[in-house]
Amino acid sequence: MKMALRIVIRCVAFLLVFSMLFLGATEYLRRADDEADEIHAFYNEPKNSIDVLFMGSSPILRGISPMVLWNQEGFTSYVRASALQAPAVTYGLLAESLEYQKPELVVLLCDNIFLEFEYAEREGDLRRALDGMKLSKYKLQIIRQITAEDERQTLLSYVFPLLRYHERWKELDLAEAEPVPLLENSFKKGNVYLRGSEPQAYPQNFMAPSDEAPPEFNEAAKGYIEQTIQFCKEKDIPVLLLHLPKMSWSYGQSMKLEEFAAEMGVEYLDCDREENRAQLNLDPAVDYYDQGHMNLDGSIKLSQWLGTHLKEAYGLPDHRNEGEYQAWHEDYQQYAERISP
Amino acid sequence: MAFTSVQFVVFLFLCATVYFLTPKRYRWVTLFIANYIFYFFAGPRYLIYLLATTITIYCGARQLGKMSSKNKADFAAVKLSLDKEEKKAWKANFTKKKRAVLIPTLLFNLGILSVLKYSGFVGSNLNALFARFSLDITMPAPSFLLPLGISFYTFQSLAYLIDVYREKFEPERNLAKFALFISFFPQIVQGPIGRFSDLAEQLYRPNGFSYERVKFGVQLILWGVFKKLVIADRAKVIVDTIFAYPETFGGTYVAVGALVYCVQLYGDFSGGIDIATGAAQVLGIQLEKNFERPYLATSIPDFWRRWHITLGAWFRDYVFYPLSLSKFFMKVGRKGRKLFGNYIGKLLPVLIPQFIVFFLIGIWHGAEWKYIAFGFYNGTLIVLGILFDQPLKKLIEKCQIRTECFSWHLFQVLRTLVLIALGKIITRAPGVGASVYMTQSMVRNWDGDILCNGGLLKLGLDTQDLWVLLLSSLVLLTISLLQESGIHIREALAKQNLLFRWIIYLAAIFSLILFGVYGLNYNASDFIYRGF
Amino acid sequence: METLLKILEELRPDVDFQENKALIDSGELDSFDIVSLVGELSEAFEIEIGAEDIIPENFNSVEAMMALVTKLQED
Repeated sequence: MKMALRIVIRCVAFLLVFSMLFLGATEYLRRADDEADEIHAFYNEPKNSIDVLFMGSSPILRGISPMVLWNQEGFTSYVRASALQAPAVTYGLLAESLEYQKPELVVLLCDNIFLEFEYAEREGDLRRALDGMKLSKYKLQIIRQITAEDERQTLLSYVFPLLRYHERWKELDLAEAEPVPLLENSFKKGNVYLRGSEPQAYPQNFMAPSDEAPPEFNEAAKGYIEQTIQFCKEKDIPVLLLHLPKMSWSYGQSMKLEEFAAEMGVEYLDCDREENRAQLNLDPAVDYYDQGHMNLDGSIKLSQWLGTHLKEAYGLPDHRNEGEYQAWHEDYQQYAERISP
Repeated sequence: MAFTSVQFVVFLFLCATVYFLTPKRYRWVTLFIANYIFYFFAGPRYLIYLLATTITIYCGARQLGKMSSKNKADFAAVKLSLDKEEKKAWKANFTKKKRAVLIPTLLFNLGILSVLKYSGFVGSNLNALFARFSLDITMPAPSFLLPLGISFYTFQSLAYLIDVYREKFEPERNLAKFALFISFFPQIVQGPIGRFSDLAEQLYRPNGFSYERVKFGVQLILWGVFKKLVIADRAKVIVDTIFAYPETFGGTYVAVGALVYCVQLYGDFSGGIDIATGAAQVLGIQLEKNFERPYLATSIPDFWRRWHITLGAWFRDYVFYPLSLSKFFMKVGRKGRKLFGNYIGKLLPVLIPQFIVFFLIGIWHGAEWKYIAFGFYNGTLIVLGILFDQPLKKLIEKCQIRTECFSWHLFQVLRTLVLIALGKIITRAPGVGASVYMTQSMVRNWDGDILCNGGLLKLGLDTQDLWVLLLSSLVLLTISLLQESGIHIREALAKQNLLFRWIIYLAAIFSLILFGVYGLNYNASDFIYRGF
Repeated sequence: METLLKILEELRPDVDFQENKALIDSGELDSFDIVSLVGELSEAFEIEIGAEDIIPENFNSVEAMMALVTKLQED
């Protein structure tokens, strides 16, 4: 009996050492990614402390600044988005987020309702979102979807990213290598802003009604977006479909989305509509990083305008004098320092 | 279910757990079920072939067993009243009766194997021949997907049948137990080919859980996976490139390709065998050795005693001896001695069957002209080796070359390696023509520079991968040399201190994880950011 | 017995048949030796040695070979 116990203890000890080394190797070999970090830092927010959740792909990632919103209006928010996020990922990510937070509002960017998501070509974008997620039934659901669409992918490589990144040992410089664990706490609250700008100009007849038929929705994308909205409704959380400034937008698409929102019983806010553009007063020469994304300055302007709108429309709270939210003031200090040129 | 897949690991774990939890009386039943589950994963429609062989061999063997017992009883009764001539006649008569059962069963099973394996080849070549002579006949040239392990389980069951015929042991009465022997999942994929006298007891007895056995088994599996994923699959990249573009990669590249292919093939095959052996060991069953450091062989016959040992043994016991000891070849021997003198005459009953055996080993590998060529190549080398064995020995003595020293031993090993590598060109090249072309190119366009001037980097592996290949091959070589000098690695390892053992285990596991050739060949460093 | 030893020594003068009791297992005698040996033995002793008799136990030592020969002579 004693021998058996010793053996079991030794095996368990070995497994522990192995797991530690495995995790260490994972941290050395993973590709450090801002977006995965931000998605992961979400878990650190105190339970039920976030008032607004922003979900979607890169325009919302770059364009919305929760720190600006906080400083101006006093409500808390988090941008849980990533570049070219698949609708399936947005759904899973949202469902998971709602296990940790009970927001007053969910803002969803869903321009990708028009696009077919090519799983086989978007491994990088899929992984950057999933690498930031903890293991959960939602993550497994997304992985199942991925492996169904792209037969080269395996469940294990998503659960244990080391199995995917193991070849990166070749890129490591032994002298300088250091482990890069996922970010625990973020002062940016999910906003990965971009410096630099590409001067833009509104195309002719921007957002003018035309006879051309607008592009069709992609059925798969639409399905997931409907599920996302439905999920929020079941939890009694209002949803706002948001469209952020994009030079290649069209009146037709805008109308289609508005119709869709109406069908789904949710609000729609389009930053490229004339009345909103006038209020926003963005300067295409300096506020755009490229035709579809705001840069830092643009995101500040946009967040200021959006903050006012949201506060009024949804009666969002003001926590600026509440003790539990002191950390947000400190975070804002950090943000302010970082963004100053 | 590939041996290096996660499914296999899970399957083995579940199988072992259930096996050790099963009450002792029924443990063999667990194995039996596991085997069929494993085979089912390979393709349910192939089960019919396995069943056909299992049932026919079982029945044939039981029949032979019954005949043998009856004959023993009958003969014992009349033995004393018969004279020498009558005894001989009785024996001959009985042998004829046994043959009447053995031959059809043999032919049926060999027939299945041959048709599935070779009918396409034979058919298409006959058609080409007919076309050449403008004959308007078309033979069917079907191309069959071979059932998993058919070459292996067929040979294993034929050995069993012949052993029963030879009255080596009584046939197995229980059909399910017999089916277990034929379908044992670690062996069925690529051997080793087992003998009933070795395996039966091990398979049918309730093997107990032994921590040491399981530990050793798992270590062996790990080593096998290492050989396959780190060494063989890496070497494959180079080999595939060279053999796919022989016009681009001529000269020294051919030699590189042949030698690296030797490494690949050994890593892959022996790695798979190690996984099989380790898996069986976990279950308490010791399989026969299939490899004994083949590239350290000092001669071609020595090589074939170290490479795919169970196949060689099978051919020796069931083809070579029956042929060479048959009346026909005994007569050939006597005639030969009269015609060619004592020396060659004595060798004839060895030479011809040996050539036949190696020819068969060649075509056993596959139904293509290049395997026939390979068979000829091996057969010729063996025959020449036998013929010139004595004269060469005398020559060496005359030249006063020392044969007990390291330098001679090294010479023998290198010489054997070169001959083996040349043979590998024949099997790996896309066809006989290609292998001729490549060998010529190797000789004519030899440019050793490519080894130093970065020529090796054009083959699909970058510098770091080449280093991993080289170092892991050195690890393999070191282990082989240690084993050759009689050290049993796992036992020796078990005697070392805990810290050292753990370092070795962790190093092994992490080299697998980091350096294993698996996953997508995708550069995980650049995620292309496309603004949306 | 002497006949047997004479045949063996003629076949493989380099092997010590008196001492070695593991001729097959140690690899001293290989399959070629066996075949030649069987030819000689069947002629000399008028017996039929079949493939099923080629097992290590029967050829590992001179004594084992003698036993085999005797057994086959009596059958």
